Amino acid sequence: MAVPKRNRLEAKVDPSAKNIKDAVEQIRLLERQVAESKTHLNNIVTLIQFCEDDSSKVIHAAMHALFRVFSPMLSKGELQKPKKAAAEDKKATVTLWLRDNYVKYLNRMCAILDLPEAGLQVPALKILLDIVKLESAHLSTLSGSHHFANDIYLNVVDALLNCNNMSAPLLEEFTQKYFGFYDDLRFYFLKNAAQIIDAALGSKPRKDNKAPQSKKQKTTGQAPPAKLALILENAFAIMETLKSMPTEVKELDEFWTGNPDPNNEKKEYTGESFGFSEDEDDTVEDLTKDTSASHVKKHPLLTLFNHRRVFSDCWTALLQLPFTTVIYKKTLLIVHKRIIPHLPQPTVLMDFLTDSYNAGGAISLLALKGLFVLITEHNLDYPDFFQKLYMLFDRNLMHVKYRARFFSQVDIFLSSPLLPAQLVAAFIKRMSRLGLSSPPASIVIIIPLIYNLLKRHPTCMQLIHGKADSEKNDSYDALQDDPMKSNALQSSLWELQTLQNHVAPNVATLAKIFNEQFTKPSYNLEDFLDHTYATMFQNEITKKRKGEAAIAVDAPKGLFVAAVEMTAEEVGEQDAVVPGWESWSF
Amino acid sequence: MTPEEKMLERFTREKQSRAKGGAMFNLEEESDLTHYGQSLAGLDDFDEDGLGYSDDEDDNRGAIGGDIVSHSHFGGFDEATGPEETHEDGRPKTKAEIMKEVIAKSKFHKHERQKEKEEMDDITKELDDELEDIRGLLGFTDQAAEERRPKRAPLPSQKSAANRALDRIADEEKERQKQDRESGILDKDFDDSYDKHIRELAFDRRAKPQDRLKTEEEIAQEEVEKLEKAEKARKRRMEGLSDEVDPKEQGGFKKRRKAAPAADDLDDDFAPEDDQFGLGTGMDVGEEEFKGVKPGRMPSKKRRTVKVDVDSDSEEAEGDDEEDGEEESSEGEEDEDEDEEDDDEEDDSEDDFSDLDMTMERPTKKLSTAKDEDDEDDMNDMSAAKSKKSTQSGKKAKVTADAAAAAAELPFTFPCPTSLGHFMTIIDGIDMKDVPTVVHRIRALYHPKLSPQNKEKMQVFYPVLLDYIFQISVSEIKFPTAALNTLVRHIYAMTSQLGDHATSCILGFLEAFESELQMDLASGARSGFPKGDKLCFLRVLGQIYSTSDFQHQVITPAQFLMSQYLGQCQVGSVKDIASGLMLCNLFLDYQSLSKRVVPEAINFLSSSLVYLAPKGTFSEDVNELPGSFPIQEVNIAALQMTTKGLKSVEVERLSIDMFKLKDTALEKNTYRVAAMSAAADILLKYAILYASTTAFSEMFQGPLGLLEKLSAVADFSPSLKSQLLKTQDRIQKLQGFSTDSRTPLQLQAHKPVPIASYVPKFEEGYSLDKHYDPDVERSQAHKLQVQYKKEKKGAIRELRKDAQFVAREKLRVQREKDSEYNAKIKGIMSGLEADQGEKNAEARMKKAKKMKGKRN
Repeated sequence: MAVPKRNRLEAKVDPSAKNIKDAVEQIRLLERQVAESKTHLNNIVTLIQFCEDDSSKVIHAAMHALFRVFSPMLSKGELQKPKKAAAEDKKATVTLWLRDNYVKYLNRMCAILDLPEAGLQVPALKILLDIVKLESAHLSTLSGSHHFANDIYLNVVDALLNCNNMSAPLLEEFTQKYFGFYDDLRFYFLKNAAQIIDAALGSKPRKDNKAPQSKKQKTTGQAPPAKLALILENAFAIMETLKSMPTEVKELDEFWTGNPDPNNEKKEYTGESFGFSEDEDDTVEDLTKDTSASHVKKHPLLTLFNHRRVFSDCWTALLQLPFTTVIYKKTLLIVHKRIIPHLPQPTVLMDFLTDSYNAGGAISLLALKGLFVLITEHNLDYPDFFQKLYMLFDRNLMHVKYRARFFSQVDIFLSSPLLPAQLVAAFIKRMSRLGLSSPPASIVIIIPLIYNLLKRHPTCMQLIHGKADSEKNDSYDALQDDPMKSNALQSSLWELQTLQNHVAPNVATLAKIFNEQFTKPSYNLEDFLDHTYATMFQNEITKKRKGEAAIAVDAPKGLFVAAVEMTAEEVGEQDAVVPGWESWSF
Repeated sequence: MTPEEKMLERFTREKQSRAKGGAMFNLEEESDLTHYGQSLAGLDDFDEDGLGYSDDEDDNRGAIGGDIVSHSHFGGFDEATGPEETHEDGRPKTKAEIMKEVIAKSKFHKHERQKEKEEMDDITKELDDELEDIRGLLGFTDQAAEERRPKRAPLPSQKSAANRALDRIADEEKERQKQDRESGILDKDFDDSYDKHIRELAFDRRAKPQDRLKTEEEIAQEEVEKLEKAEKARKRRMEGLSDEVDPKEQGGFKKRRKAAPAADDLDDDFAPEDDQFGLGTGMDVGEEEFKGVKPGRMPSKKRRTVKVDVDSDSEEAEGDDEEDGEEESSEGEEDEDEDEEDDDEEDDSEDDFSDLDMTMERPTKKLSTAKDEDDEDDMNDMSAAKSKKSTQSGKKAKVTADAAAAAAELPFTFPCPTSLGHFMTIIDGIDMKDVPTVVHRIRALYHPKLSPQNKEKMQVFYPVLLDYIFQISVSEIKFPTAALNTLVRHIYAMTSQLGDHATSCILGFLEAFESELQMDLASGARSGFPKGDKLCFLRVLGQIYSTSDFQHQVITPAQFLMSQYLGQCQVGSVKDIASGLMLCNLFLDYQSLSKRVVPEAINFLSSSLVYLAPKGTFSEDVNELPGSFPIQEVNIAALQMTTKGLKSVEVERLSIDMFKLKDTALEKNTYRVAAMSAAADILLKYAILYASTTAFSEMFQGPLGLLEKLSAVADFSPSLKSQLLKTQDRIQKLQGFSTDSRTPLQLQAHKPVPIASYVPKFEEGYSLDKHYDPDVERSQAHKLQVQYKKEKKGAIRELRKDAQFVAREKLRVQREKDSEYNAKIKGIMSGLEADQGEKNAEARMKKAKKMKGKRN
């Protein structure tokens, strides 16, 4: 029935019309016609075609028009799959046809999310999530209990994770307004993302029950690395922003699709859902089984444990993806603050963190914090911890960005006065040895740290005040990996004395604290962590100037003046050696 | 003499001659005492020879000669007095003749005297006339003379001379006045003016004695002292002390206290210091996670805008005016006594424009043809006298012949440049080597001493000149060493002239460099290593400022910047390495006196040795490398030496011009070998510089390990190999010395800290009545309360007394009243009683009468 009409309409619409304005006008007209009477339903097809247009303005107009067309139908339930697909029933045929177009529209919208244009991505996302809301509302009224249209949402999540052009506005829109704000959207995103990643990895789903996978993702093999990298990047970009994980039940109060009534026990939704998948609520049910068996069964969305569980699942899935160094570092940076506190079982990260700690380099430094949380709060026992910590003091330590973070933790690790002096001395000696080749910002960190350690371990004072007749040669073995065997206690901190003559005046002044009496109980290391070349430079340059800058005692003879007197012939060659600059010719 | 006496005399004579110690050593036989060559023995004691009254002679002016008197006056005229009183023919003169002679003689004498006097008068007159001339020098306020002559103050050298002349003249004048008055030849007019002068002289403030001109030795000595003082100040600054104030005078107490706390020191004076070490605030906490770079910060050009301090300027202007006035007056005098003035004039100009005094100074070159001489003088006639100094010192040199010839064609006046573009248009068409001359002329034309506005102009010109230096250090094909050598002297002079403004300018430049570096580091597109211009600028800084200071307004930030270049920039090409090497060399230069430790430089040198070494010299694992310097992940292919043909590549010197070449053009072994050799060379210099530091062996452990491996490489050319070996050998030796001489640290050899005393404070002669409240406020409040109480009591007492008094008075009045009433009543009663008594008596009498009557 629709075919002739469509042809007629197509004739009316000039497909080659370049004028976007005309197209937009036309879209409005078509939309109005659809709204006026059902006879113009075929306009929908044209509108969907407009969605494929080259011009973003046209697409923009078309998708909004379509949303306005579909939204009343959705809330009226006109798009619901008829119970008996009787071909002869005209109404059923129309509904089926409408439904097909609706699905087409949704697919197109998901595809738009992948377009490079942020101006389209953001409204598309809005429309999709609005549709999710409408559908959920409809389903909820239908079933009498809260229902989430996860089938559509799963597609949205999939589109987001596989998005090739994840633009900043889109990311921001999604994370700030939806993902970070609404508890249900976050819950289902985490759940879906875990599924999608698992599917992409080709690993078998963790849960024994029937895998709630969409038909698309039922591939068993591992996806190509490029796709995995894409998923990782997008998933991490979204997960990274998650700061609003609930920590108490009462925080679960913002829902996109309406608040599920906590007193009303959930009834199994029996009505047929339409869309891509028929069963979407089973997993939710499963998750609640082990926890809420004893007490009154709450809606899964209202149980904190479920939220944590999906969070944990999502991260576990995410961590299985092949990490890039950047994301690895970023993950380690947030692991202690944003991940561990929300995990039902933080120990799942044990292997991840231990491996990271053993990886060496900057990764080790970053893993330290998470490991520290596990050790102190979750009873992780780590053998040879101090030896490994000692080995982290390598040649590049003082120059990496994360040194401030690292040293603030070292300060905590070495804070126990019960540590053996030999061990502490080894750390002190190692630090001062590294200080000889460090930037001023790092020296400024280690000096108060060494002071604190010396103050805490008076036995180590012999490092800066030894007996005059003791051995002259340095007994410290810098190549020894075991701090207890490095013989540091018998050494002396000549390095610090040399640093007292450092070129930076503030460093030199700071290093002189070892010459003074140790009257100060301890230095607060926090005051010394946040320096860089740039801040020190700025500090110098903005310093209040007292008097005029001292001019050189002798007036310069010239910029580069040769020592030897040149004869007239040599002047032209300009090849005389400038004293102090023997390796240069000017 | 009797024979006896004669014998006695002989005896004594003999005795004496014997007592003199024998004739053997007596060279002179005669031992007679003599006076004026005459033997004293022959003199009679009472002869009055030579004892004439010498002062008599002064008085006998106008008198007749002594011989005449003795012969002709009283008791004279003795016939037989002497042979001279006779005529030629032998007969004695007559008295008349003698008298005539006497008269003639005295007349002659008188005539003589008159003649003498006339001569004297003539001389005096002459002197008077000359006084007019001298008076100008004396600075009399003679109006007429003033008008006639341009004003001029006496020069210091003349002043003292004139002072002496003045005194002498004044004396002479007095004398002459007396004589004139006596002789009556007083000229009225002359006298008036003369008196006026005298009075003026008397009231005029006497010229104060001035320092005499200094001799050359003294000048040299002073120069030495000045240098020593400057050096001392520099040393103090190097130790981080204030360069002016002696530590004993300032803050001495605080220092001492810190060293040895007193027994009653409770340590309660401790206050947390916010920024004890001058570290600044560091980064914001929020920045912590993605620290390192703040992208998008544009270089602030604020500092580079010219700031004109109005107040100081006007002051300056005043001072200038005064000086100008002085200069003018001295110049006006110039034409008159050229010879005398010359020296002073020289000094003046020397003082004022000494900062321009670097024109064409070229120690390597000396040319002195007459023509050049002239050019030079024309060019800067203000410092014309410099030639004298230059010949003295022997170091001052002249323009090269061609430069002078070109300079002759140059215009002599230029507008003061306001921007680099303006400057470029000014010097458009002028040869590079003449630009310093142009700069010199601009500076001479707009010297701040000449006009107050010139200072502002110079303040604008200063950054322009710096910009220009930037530009030519990169734009020219060949690095313009000669021009820069001269320009840097101008920069030095201008820096000392402009002071704080120059500092602001340079800090502005540094800040721009820094933000540029930040952006480079953030973007990662470029390595961030400075190119020729910035290196050149940093070199200029090192030349004009005192780099050995512990803390310096300009040098300290500059060094932070240089450290950052060395520490954070990513090495990507040989050019970067060359740039880094140059920075290391700059640091070496900066620290040549203070010998402070620059870890970044040693790190850079070590790591560049690693990068440049041919493949396989060092293991791939960075942890296997000796030392603790950091290793970046670099594009090793661009840096590593290729073994092919390496043997034939000899060591060359790095050129500053190589910064203009392309990166790929530098990927040759020639440059790599040159860089490695330079690195080794600079490393050795650092080792020598730091030889005395205690951690020398730790510091150079890494580089030494690298050198050991490098000198074992077979592929190097002999020259490179020998240099590496030499460096290794020297550093090894220095390390040996260092480890031998060092001892374990003894940093805590402090005096034991006395335990804080908590003994209570006892009061001598404690009294219960006294209050010993240490809290002043409370004790005062208490005092006030006590006073109030006392006053209140007093007031109550007074009131009570008053009340009592009033009551007493009332009672007294009442009593008086009562007694008055009583007396009155008494009187009445007694009257009444008397009446009654009378009545009674009457009645009784009646009764008695009755009774009598009855009886009767």
